[in-house]
Amino acid sequence: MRYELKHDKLAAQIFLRASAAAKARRRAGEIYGLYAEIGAERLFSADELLYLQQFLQVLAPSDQLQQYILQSQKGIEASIEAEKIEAERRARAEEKAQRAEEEARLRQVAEKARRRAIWGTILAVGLAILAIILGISAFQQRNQAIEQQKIAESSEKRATNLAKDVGIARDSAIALRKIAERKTRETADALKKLSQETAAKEQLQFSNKVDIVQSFVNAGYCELAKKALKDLMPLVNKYRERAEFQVTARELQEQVNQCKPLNTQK
Amino acid sequence: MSSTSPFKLLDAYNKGDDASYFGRKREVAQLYNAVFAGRLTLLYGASGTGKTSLVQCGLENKFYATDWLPLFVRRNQNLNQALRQAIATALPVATRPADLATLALEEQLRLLYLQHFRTIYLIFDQFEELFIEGDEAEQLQFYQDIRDLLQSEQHAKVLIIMREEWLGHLNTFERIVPTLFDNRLRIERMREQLLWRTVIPGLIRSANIELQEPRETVPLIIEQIKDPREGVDLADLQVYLDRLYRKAAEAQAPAPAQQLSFDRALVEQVGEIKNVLSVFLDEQMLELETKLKEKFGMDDPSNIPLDILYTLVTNEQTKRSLDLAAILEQLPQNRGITPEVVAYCLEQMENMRLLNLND
Repeated sequence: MRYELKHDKLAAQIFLRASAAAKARRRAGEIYGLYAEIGAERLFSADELLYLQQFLQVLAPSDQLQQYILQSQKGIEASIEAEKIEAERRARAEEKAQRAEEEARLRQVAEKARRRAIWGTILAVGLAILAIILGISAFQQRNQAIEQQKIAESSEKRATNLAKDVGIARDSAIALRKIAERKTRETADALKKLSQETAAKEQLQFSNKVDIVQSFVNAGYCELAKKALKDLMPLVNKYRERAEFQVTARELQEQVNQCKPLNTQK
Repeated sequence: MSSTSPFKLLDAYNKGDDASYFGRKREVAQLYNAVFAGRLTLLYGASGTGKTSLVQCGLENKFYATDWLPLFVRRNQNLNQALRQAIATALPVATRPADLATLALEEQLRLLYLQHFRTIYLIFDQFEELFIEGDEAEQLQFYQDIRDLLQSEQHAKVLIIMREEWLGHLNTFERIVPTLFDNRLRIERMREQLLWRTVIPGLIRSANIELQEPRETVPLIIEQIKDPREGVDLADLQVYLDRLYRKAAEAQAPAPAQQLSFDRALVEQVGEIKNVLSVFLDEQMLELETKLKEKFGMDDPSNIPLDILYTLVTNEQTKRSLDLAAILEQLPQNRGITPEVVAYCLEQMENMRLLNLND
């Protein structure tokens, strides 16, 4: 059988008039429900147990929740004990670590001093070696300079001699060039003269052949005039630059073309 | 005390109270049309507006018994189980299959319909309990069952009754059943004019009490209990009328055979009680504490009855149903509150018409 209020209005009135203790009990019941769910999953923390404490006075928890609370309390005690042991262990370890750290620091200081000494020695030796090397190097450079000076002097002498030889050779070359220039001029003059003579000869030949063609035209020997004109053409072609040859040749060609042959050729 | 009161006090009206049910004709017609027209109806309103009475008395009397088969379902511990339990109870034992519990809801309703050949009305009163005490899985299963039911061809309709301040919780339900709000009806507080013209005179006369100078007496009654902000609460009115009845009966004690009458003088004598329900509750608690002292010889029973009642109230200030064991669990163990004391208190509270006893 279930009981129920007749009306929600009545429920609202009861809610307003309910005692603080009754409301606290309900709150406790709700909190217990929540804690029972949490307790099934894990142990309660110290804070959670502290919060729960205020409700335990108001409403007795279920056996199951009571068991969760006890288990959690034991767990917390064990945890505190374990933490204590752990703290001691940590303190010892820390002390040991501090000692080790101090030793390491001292060792480090000693090591630094030793390294500084070694580096000082190395530096001094290094400087000494460098000074020796620089001394040897300076001596060698001095010797090399003396040697170079000698070579330079020798080279200067050889250059002076060579300059003299070059002067003689140049004079010879100038003389030879003058001779060659003179020979060239003479050759050119000779060639010019030869050319002039050839041209004069060929001018003469041209004039003769022109006379022959004209004489054949005038005589009415047209065929002979053509042959003579044909003989003339190699000279005309050779001297294309000479306008009088070209003009004369064209005039002759016209004359030959207008040539009136005789009835009887001789 | 008030066990002989002719008034309903905090009880809802039911089918047999038709003669004393006044002022809700229009709403009854609207609700009838709504449930007739649709397969899912949502009835909501503020607390104390008479939603349950509108269904249990108004609607029930509107229907012919051959037209409908109402199944009133309250959540108790689980709404889905309560629904199946209601169906099982409605099935005659001889026709109840052994594997009924394993059948789908649709099939269970089909079997029920075949037994009665009447449209089944599943009426979920105090639906907000699903949100106050139900979990998400329970809610989801219910929504899906209702969706499947509405999509089926079964001759079954659903009426959901709830307080309007919980409407916001229907969001998920509406996503699953989009037609949830399509066919809804809001019941409003009764208008003052209706109270003094129809309801109060009707209630008094139907209780076989003579009402003298009604034009003066009735407005005065309203004046005594009216809340300036919220008007007249019907539960307060019932309790005040009961108080008038007891005062009148007390005055006529030597000659109880005479017909009682309410008049202006009686109302003035009882006076103004702005929170009449609270005063009523205090009186009942005091009376019960006195009885506890006498019966169990308790030195200090103060607050014990109220603590017992408080176990039946949710943190949302709504009622809830519990069995004796659950009530005992929530009571302090250091005040000598034995199961016998609690059982006695519950019995007395039932007599005081504060409690209902459900199966």
